[in-house]
Formats: sequence, C-alpha cells, structure tokens
Amino acid sequence: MIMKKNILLTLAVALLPVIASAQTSAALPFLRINRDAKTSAMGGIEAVSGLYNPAAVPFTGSDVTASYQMWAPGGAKSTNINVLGGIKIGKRLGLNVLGAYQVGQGYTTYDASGKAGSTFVPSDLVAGLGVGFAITDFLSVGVNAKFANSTLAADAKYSAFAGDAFVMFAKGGLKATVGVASLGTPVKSGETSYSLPSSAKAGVGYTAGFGKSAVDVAADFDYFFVGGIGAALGAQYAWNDMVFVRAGFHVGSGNAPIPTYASLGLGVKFAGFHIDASWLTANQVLGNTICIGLGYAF
Amino acid sequence: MQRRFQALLILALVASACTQETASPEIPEAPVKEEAVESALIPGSLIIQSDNSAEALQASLSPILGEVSVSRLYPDAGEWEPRHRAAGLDRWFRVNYNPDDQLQTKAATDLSSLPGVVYVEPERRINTTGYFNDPNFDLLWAFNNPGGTSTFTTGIDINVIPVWQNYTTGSSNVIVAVVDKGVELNHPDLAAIAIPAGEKGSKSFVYDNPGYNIVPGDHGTHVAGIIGAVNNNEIGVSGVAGGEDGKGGVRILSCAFMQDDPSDPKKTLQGDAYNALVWAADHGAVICNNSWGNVYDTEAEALEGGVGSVGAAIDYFIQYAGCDADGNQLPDSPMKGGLVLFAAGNESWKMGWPAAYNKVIAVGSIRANGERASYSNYGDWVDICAPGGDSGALIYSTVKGGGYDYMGGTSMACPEVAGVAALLVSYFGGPGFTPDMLKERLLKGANPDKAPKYGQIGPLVDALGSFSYGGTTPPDPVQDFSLSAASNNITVSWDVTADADDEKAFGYLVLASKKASDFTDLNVKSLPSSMITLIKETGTAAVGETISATLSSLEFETPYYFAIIAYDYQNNYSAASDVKSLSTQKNNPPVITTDYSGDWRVFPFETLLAQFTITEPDEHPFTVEATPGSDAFTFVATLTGYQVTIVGNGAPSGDYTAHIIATDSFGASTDYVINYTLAPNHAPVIIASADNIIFTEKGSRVTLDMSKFISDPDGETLTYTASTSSQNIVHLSPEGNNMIITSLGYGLVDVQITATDAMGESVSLGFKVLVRNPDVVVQSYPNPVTTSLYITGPDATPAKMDVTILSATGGKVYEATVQASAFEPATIDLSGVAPGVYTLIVTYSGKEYKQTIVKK
Repeated sequence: MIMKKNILLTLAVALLPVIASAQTSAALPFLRINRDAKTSAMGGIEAVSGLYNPAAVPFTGSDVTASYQMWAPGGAKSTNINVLGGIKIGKRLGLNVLGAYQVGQGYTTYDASGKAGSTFVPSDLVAGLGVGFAITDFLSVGVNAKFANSTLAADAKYSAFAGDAFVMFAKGGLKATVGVASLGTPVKSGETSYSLPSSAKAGVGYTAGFGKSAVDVAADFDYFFVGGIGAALGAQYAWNDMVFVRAGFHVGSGNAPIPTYASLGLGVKFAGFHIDASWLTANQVLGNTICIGLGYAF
Repeated sequence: MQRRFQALLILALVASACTQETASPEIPEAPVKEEAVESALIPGSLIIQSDNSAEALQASLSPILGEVSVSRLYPDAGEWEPRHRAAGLDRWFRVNYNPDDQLQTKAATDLSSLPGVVYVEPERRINTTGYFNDPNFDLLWAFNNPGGTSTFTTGIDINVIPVWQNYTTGSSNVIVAVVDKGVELNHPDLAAIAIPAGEKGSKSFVYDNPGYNIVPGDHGTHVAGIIGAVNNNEIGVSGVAGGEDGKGGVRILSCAFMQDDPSDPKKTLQGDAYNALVWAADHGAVICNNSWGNVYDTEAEALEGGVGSVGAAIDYFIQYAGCDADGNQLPDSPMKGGLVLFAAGNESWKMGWPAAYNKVIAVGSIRANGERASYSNYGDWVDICAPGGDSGALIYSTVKGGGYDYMGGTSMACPEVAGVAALLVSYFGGPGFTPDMLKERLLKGANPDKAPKYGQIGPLVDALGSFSYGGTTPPDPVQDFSLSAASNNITVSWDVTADADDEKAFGYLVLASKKASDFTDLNVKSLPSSMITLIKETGTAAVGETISATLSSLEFETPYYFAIIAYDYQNNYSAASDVKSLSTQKNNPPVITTDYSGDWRVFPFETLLAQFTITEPDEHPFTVEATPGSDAFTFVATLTGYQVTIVGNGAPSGDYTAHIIATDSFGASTDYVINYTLAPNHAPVIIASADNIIFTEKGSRVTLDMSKFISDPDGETLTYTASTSSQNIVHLSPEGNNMIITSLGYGLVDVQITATDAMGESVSLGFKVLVRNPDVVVQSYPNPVTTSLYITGPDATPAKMDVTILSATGGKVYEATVQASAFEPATIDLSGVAPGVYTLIVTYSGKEYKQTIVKK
C-alpha cells in the first residue's frame, strides 16, 4: 500500500509543470475540452466520469462513445471529432482511451506591416491511453498518458506529453476523487516555455435512485497552476435508464482555460446504446457549442 | 609631263577648296557645326602662341595630338631676328598633326589650357580674291601664289595680275598656235577663242587622221586652256591671255599632230610636226607653243642630239609668221614674224630637243615653292622658267570632254610663257613689232631672283617685269600725304601716283626719322641709318586712290618726320615728297573686359564661367597671365577670347583673389582683380513635416511636391530617393521635385524620402502610408504574432478601443482598453501568452470586431 502511494507521488512530481512567471495562459488548452455530450451537458464534470478518469472505470463499468462537436462558435470555433471510452476488464481493472482531432477556423495571415497574406487552417490532435485499478472494493487509482499536437501555422507546430493521475473512493452511490490533470512537458516557443493547463483536481458525485428514476449529481474543482480556478456542477435525471435530462454550470476564473458557462443536455439509451446531445450557453465564446454523441455502455 | 600626279590627293584638295567659299568664316560655338567649320580650315594645322620653345611645345602636344611637327611661324630672320623677337614673332608656331586623329577645333580647345600656351587657333585656308569670276580661279596658283606653306611660296607665279589690271588681258588679233594633241575646239571655256577647223583654221596633221577632223586630246586642250581659257565667263578657269569680258582674249589655232591611240590609250598616234608649224605660220599664228620634244633613249644620246629637220619649220615660223607671201607684215598682224616656244622636257636631263635650238625659247619648270621642278630638264640653254607644277601643286586647266583636271610638267610651264608672250604682243604688237623685240622684253623682263639660284632653268617669267621692261621714267612724286597717330604707331596716307611708262607707281618708300636733317639731300640709294623705311606696294589700287601704311613700334610721345618716294617696277625713283612731322602718343595698356555681370560667389554645386575679352588699343602684341588664388580658378585662352572657370568645390570655401594681368610688348599692363568667394555648402533642410497618408484602395496615386517639405539653403536642385519598409504595399517614384506614391497592397509602411544635394549632404523626411482594406475597420497584425500584436483603427486620429483576447477554449488571456489610430497602432504584448489560436475582440465606436489570431 505504501509502495503504491509512492508510485503515485513519484508520478505526480515527474509531471509537475514548469510555469513561466509571466504566463497568462496555458499551452494546448484544448487538452481541457470536455469532449462527450453527457459530461459537457453537466457543466463539464469529469472527475468521476469513467470517460476521463481511469480510476473510475472499475466502479462505473464500460462506456465507449464517439462525438461530433462544434466548439466555441462565438470565438475561434473548431470542429471536433472525438472518440473516448472507459473499458472495465475483470473486476478491478479499467482502461481509458481518448482520441480527438479538431479543425479550426481558417485565418488570414498578416505580415509585420499589416499586409495580408494567405489563409491557414489550424488543427489539433489529442490521443491518450489510461489504466485504472481498484485496489479495494471502494478505492482505486488510475493514470492517463496523452499526446497532444497543435498545428498553428506552417512554421508553428507544437507537441507535448501530458498525464493525469487520480485516486478514487466509491461507496454506494457516492464517488469522490482527487488527482492532478494535464501535467506534462512544457511547450517551447522561441526561448520561452509555456506550461500545459495543469491543475490539481478534485471531484465528487452521488447517485440516488427513485424507482425507475435516478438522479446523478456531481461537482468538479480545479486549481490551475497558471493561476485560476475552475469548478463545475452538474446533474442528470434518468428515467428508466432510457431517457436522460442533464444540466450543469461551469465556473472559470483567472487563467482557467475554460470560462464560465451553463449547459443543458438530453440523452436516450436502449440496449446499451445511447445517443446524447449537449448545448452550452451563457458564454460569449462557448455559447451554442453543440456536441452530439453516440455510445455504447456495457 | 607629270600627268595626274597624285590625282586622288589633288581631287581631295579641289573638293575641299570648292567648299571653302561657302563655309562660314566664323567657328560656330555649337558642336553640330563642327564639320562645316572643318572645311574652312587647313586639315591638321594649328597656329599657337606659346611661351615655350618649339621642342618643349612638341613634347607637351604629342600626348594629345599624337605625332606632331612644330615649327616657327616666323622663321629665324637672321639680322632681323632681334627685332622679330622684340615683336614676339618668335613665340608663334605652326603645329602640324595627323588630321584623322583629332577634329581641328576640338584640338584647339584641348590645347588652350596647356601650360605656356597663350593662344590657339586652327589655321584657316586663305581665300584668295579671284581676279576673274571664273569659279576655279583660286586653284590657279601660277597666277597668284598664295604662299604660307611649305608647298607654296608667295611670288612664285607669273605676276600677271598687275598686267591685267594695268595693261591688257589679251587681244583677239593675236593667234597662238598650239602644236600638240588636238584642242577640244568646242570646250565651253575655249569655244570663243578656238579657231574652228578648216582650210583657214585649225587642222589635224596626224598621219592616220590628216585633215580637218581634229580629235581632241587632254594634253592639247590643257595647254590651250592655260594660254587662253576665257576669263570672266563664270565657268571653269582663267587663261593667261583669256580677255576680261567673257568673250575671250587671244585666239587658239590647234595644229594637232598627235592623237590618242583609240586602240591603246597609252599610245600616241604620231603626226607631221613640220607641216603643223608651217601651217601655223601660214594661217595667222605669231606665237607657236610646243609642249613636246624629241624622244631619246638616254641623256647621253640627247646631249649628242640636235634640232634636226624640224629646224627648218621652226625657222620658217620665226621668219614668216604674220607676213604675206612676200614676207611683209600683214596689215592685221600684230607682229612681223613669230615666236616659237618649246617645253624643255621632263626627263630631268641636261638637254632636250628641239627646246635647245637657239632660235626658240626653251621653257623649264619651277615648283610652287620656288625650287626647280624635279622632272624639269635644265641647262644654260633653258631660257626661262614658269610654274609647271610638281607634287602637291599641279596646274589646273581644261581637258577634253568639257572638263578640267590637273597636269604637271614643262608642257604646262611652256604655255604659261606663251600666254605672257601673247599678252605682250597684244599690248605692244603692231606694225614693226618683231619677235626679237618680243623675245627681249619677255626674257629680260623675267625675274632671276625668284628662280632657283642654281636651277639652270632661267629666270622666272614675270609678266609685269616684261611689260615694264625698259622703262626709265620714274613715277610721279607724291604731292601730299596725311599723318595720324595711335600710340606709337603712325599711319601715313596718300594717293597713288601715275607713271608715264608704267601706268602707275609700283610702290612707295615711306621714310621716317626723328631727325629732320635726315631728309636733307636725300639719296634713296644711301639712306641714313637712323631712318626707318617702310615699303608699300601699290597692288590693285588705281591712280588717285588713297592708300596708307603704318609705321609701328616707334618711340612713344616722340616727334617723327616723314616723307614718301614713289618707285616703279624697274626701280626708277621719284623725287621725295614734302617732309611732314607728327608725334607719337603715349602707350595705352591692354583693356580687359568681361561679359559677366553677376557676383563672384560660387556655391560648391556650381561652376562659374565668365568670358573675357582682352584688347590692345594700340594693337601692340601682349601677353596674358593669371594668378588664380585657388585651385578652383582656371584661366584659359579660347578661340574667341579668354575664359575664367571657377569650380565651386575646387577648393575649400573662403574668399580668394585672382589676378588677370595683360602686358603689352612695351610693358604697359592692366591687372584685372577678381575677388571671388567659394561659398560653403549647406545641407538641405526640412521646412514642413509631411502628414501620414491613407489609401482606401489599391492602385491609387498621390503626388507630393517635395519642395514644400524640403528646401536647400543654397538654392540648388535636390535629388530625391525614397525607401519603404515594404515594397509590396506602396511604390515610390521620384520625378524631379515630385514624389509619386502608388498603393499596391493593404498594409502600413514607413516611408522615408531622402533629399541629397550635389555635395552629397542629405536630409530625410519620414511619414507613414496606410493602404487600408475598406472592408476591414479594425486590423491587427502580424498574424501569427510572436510577441507584439498591433491593432489599428480606421482613422488618422487615435480612438479608444476595448480589446479582449480569448483562447480557443474561451479563456480570457488579455483584456484592456487602448488608444489606436491608423498610424499609431495599439501594441498588445502577447509575450506571456502561450502558443495557440485566439479570438481577438475589439470594441470600437460601439461595435464589436472579431478576428482569429494565432500566437506562435
């Protein structure tokens, strides 16, 4: 047990970011985009979701989903294609996968004198793999390893490795987790290094059943090392495990990569297959972000 | 005969001479006139006045003109040399060079600035005044030798013009037989005086062509033209005895006994000279010109030769020409008997026949420079010589085909003498006039002084000498004369006096002395050594016409006494005129003037040119020297005067003094002082700033008058150049004082316009030019941005903008309120922002503008 704690501590220290003193934003912020329709409809709670936290997979079961996302139409909008899932193997082992490719809006280049040049379309790529393990019937740990790449211009391509590490407690309808997210290698531009949107993360969730209905409530909290706090609160009402109504609210302050917004969502599920949709609002940039996902839970 | 010797060269000279009459006598300043000027000049010849020796001058000229020869214009004068030097004549040189290498006027200009060179001018052709209006009279140097070159010497001619003026130009009752090849009887210049062929006229004695069909030959036609080409008929040439009214003078009887062989132009068909001479005697001729001779294979054979059988025919002509069948002089004949002249021959031998026959006049040939012609036969048997031409100067006359050409030889000298003989017969002929009288006058009137001393070709025929021969009556004395003084020069004027036997005085001795006693018991053969003598020939002046002579270089402000003695060609002297007295005046220094009236302040970008004229009121020679004061000042002689050049950047700025000093040959001088200033240079200055410029579309154009923004304190013209931070946005094109700015693409550039003066000093004026996309109100750049993002508004004046930058995930990374205009962009420091895609939101004038930006 002590040895396992040491492993987690070593991993966390290894992934501690280098934070530039004057840095006002995190590099590769798309690492923190919530990419499935369920959790994005619930304010972006991720900590207790088996799609993001491999430590949760042994307690939540398997779920694989693919989504189409029209991100941030009020700002630097992008079209995202995402695949992510948590797959439980045996009683205690869980795997976590992530793949995302997003194409941004083309922009016009201008030289130093303001003369317009060509148009360039930026794109981003994220791929990850995680593993969770239930140490006991109510305690698990998990880690994710990710590779992120961003192509901003013909001569501007950036890559980084990032990782998440969580410890989770689950007992009855209650789930709680703590960990770190998006720890990783800094991105270097010229002589300046920029840290990833790393944070210390905590989350809690509770599920209560009422006959054919059930209610899930969850909350996330992030402390971003570049300065800033993120918090999310989400709820889901499920009828007969077939129809789902979701709502949430996300708060971002300081240099938090994701700003404040509200979210709503719907979902249907039949024979393990589910279709979900989310809609974000109450934010100048993220307002009207839509995500539609198709998944299979088993 | 030196036929067509150096024909090409001569033809070139003819062409050149023909053009000189229409060429401008002045050298135009414009270079385009250069060719026209050249035709009036003697190719490859310059006249230079220099303080240097001939050797030093040659050394300094060679690098410029190539191979040159320098000779004194006035050669060493022996006993008179000190006086020549005092007059500065030793400082004048003739420079000959290859005319192909240099244009003459350009060469003169190039040399004018050489050290020691005082004056340069191209040598002009001498345009003799033709006595008759025949257009090629000027080519007839045998009538009036122009002199002045190594080829021509003044006086080496037949001295016929005074005879034309005072005695006769030839009478039609004198017939000269040309026993030669046929004369072209209908030649335009001969038809009036050529006696037509016929039983009483010209006839052919060619064996193959006997009778009255005379086949013209160049040689006979040339000879006939020399004797009698019609004068004053406005065509061709003049003849020695060609009359003066355009209708002709003496007449020509062609007795053709030679003829060009039609089958071989190099051969001559022979004929009967015997009967040709007899025919001439029997048909009116009293003078018989024979430009031919017997052919011998060697000189030794010629020395053994004799007149032979043709002697009888010669004797017949001498005895019976002009006489009737009984030997009496015909009433209309000017002479009882005939004169036969023969060319001495062209073999350069000591003998020639029949010329050596003692009853004929043998004529040798003299070159135009007074030497014996290289080809001329010689010996004491040669009676007289005349110009026959040689290399460089042949004799121009009529040829067949109505043409004209050059020929040379004793064949040409002989008709010169025959022509003079014809003039003598025309004037003196009449009843009782005999060939012996004519021969005496012809030979004894000839001038031995002008013939080559050891040439053995006899004296030079002298028409005037022959006409005045035997005269003993002196000219009438000068009755009165006037005196006028200018400085130390006194001009004497009087009327030409008559001569009872020579029409008029040939010349005058003007005598001057400071002592009145010198004129007591005056003996012209032994004048006092203190007496100054000036010879003035009458020339063309007629009796009663006023002529004058000037005695120069007398002592200043000194009384002189004057008298005049007239003389004729035979040196018969009249009595002296009355003695008059007049004092010379003081010496006046040279006068220096300039047409430049501006101030003598020169800026570094300027070059001041001032033309000066220096005159000598007393017409004394003078020298000019200049002390420049600085290296910027130069003073050179030009073809029209003198020129001062002050180059503004030729020396450091400051005040300088230059002197131009002209000193006459008697020491009087004028110092022209020029105080000049080389002004310092001032860099151009900006007098007004330029506003920034906004274009709202591509391809627009704005023209800035840069003189409104930049000025040069020195007033000089500035050169403008322009640069821009981006050549893709605007194009800058300077045109004189204007700068044309053309928009090419959208963007903001810094423009710098630099004005540079002639000295390289400059000033720059900067401003911005924005080419704004009308569809873009707020613009940010660069994109992608590395450190600083610039945001501009649409207006020239700054305005408030609220700026927010959000990350791709919506996180706010920047927020501020800034001031920005089109030319003063707000600068957003994004150095702390991580690479990524961002949304720039600018709120300006209540409207929100978004732009995707990328931070690298």
